[in-house]
Amino acid sequence: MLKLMKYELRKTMFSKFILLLITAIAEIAYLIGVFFDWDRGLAIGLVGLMCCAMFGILYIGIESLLVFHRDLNTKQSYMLFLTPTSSYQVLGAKVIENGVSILLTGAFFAALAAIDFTVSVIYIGGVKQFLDLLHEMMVNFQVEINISAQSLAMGFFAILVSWLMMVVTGYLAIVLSATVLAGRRFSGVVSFIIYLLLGWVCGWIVDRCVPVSMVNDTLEFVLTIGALFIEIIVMYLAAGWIMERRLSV
Amino acid sequence: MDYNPALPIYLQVMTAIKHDIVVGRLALGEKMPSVRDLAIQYTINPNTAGRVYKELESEGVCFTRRGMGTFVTEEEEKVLQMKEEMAGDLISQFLGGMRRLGISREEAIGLVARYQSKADADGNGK
Amino acid sequence: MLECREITKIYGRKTAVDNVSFKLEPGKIYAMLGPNGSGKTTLMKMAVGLVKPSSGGFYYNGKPVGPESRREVAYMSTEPYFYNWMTIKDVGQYYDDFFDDFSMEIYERLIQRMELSEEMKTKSLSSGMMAKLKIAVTMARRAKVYLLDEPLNGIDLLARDEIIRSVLEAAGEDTTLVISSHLVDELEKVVDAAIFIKESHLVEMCGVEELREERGKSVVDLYREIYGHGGEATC
Repeated sequence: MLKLMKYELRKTMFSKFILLLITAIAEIAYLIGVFFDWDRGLAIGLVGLMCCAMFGILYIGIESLLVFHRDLNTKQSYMLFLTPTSSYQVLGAKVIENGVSILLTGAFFAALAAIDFTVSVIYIGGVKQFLDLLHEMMVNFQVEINISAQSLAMGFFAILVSWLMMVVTGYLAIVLSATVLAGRRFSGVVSFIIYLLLGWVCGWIVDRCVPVSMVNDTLEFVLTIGALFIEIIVMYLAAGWIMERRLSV
Repeated sequence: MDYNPALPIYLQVMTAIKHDIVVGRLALGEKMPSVRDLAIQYTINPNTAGRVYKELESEGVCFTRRGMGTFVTEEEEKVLQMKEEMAGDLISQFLGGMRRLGISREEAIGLVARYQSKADADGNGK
Repeated sequence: MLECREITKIYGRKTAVDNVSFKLEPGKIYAMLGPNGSGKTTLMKMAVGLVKPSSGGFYYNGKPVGPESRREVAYMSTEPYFYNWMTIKDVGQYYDDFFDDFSMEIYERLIQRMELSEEMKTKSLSSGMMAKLKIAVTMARRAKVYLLDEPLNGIDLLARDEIIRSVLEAAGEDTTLVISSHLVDELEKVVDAAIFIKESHLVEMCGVEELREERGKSVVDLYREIYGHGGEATC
């Protein structure tokens, strides 16, 4: 599994490098803006960094699907399917690598934002003001945290499930189109259509399974997340099974 | 090495090895290559190479020392016998060819003698 | 060892492989012969599970082929399939990562003998060099079964000798080799038996020496008979 993940990472290295490069440029613009009072640079840097964070994370998710599509529909598929690893492992490695990548990218941008914020506050407002701000934030945060520990967890699960849903639905759609079309033209478009269909079916099933008029919002949330998780697992197993038994590359 | 399509390959390799022994390219008692190396040397199938050694052994051309490999026979007599056999084969081939041309045995022998003296006169013979 | 039971593969309206059955024995080298498009490649791909049969199947030591059998069955495809970013060294590393029977030492030796260098990018290799790389990385495995699809294609004569040599080196009492080709005479001396595939059928399977001894024919002769005037040969 680790070895599969290593090569999955290698496949997406280039775009991650580009993302890093653009981020670095935006960061430099931002820092110049801060230190030399260059407002336009500051604005470009800020917008650039925010775009990098948002589109970067989105792209890493989408790229995982693009790579998988290439892995199934070109001769490079032999690289995966000649190894003594099962399709479940291949899929699992892809999901985990993508998850770790997104998590690390998110953490990276969060850390960068924190650093940038700190630097600018110190430089522009002086250390005293920064410490005050920090103190104020701490107080606020402590108050906040009491109320939001639960919603924080809920938010995390919501993001996790929606990302997993996207990736696994995408994988299943790609596997289905590759199995039926066997690398012929339009397999990309067909994959996308199947993806939309699968998404709709999954939503429909969850709506049927989870009663809407629940008294308890939290319970409804937990049930929804649980149902989605089951759907994700079923789709993952289905994709692996089809790859193992039916897919010709 | 070129192979005759109608004859088994192992027989042809056997002949080649016997030839090497008769002309002294393989010395008496010399160690022969391993089966795999023989296969690589003649670019033949390893099982065919194994069969070559087995047949050579049963003819007494080679012998195996346990754990040491295959060796060329140490008997001078065997080599002479092989030489005679091979010469005999060539002669019968030659005579067969002559017969097909409608040349009798006596005529053929006469032709050989004449060919030889002509070659000598041209300075090509030995 | 490797067994093919009544296997059929249909692509749309075209039948690529039609009800083929055979059994391969350990310690033997087989030539899989037939013109392009006769179904050799599809058959080999099914033997490692890259292509799934429409019916029937391949069995390795009695079990259907799959991820497990790929530990011991090495396959070399006609087409290049390495990732674009790889150097020759990366290819070796990849195999080393995934196959327990891969030997980096043998790989390096073969690469050297084939006059390749580890720093070369696979993207920039000529077709001859690519063919050599594929054979080197495949033969550097100590597999039980080797399936080589057209290893002699697009390769100059000297390199062919090198490839045949590495094939002979891999042969052993418990290994099976299958080499597909339409270059019949070059394989004839090297193999134990020939499998003739014609128009997606298995026409004949016979031993090279038996053919010579019993019928006074070479594999090349039989090849001409089978594909030359279209009639099916009788064994």
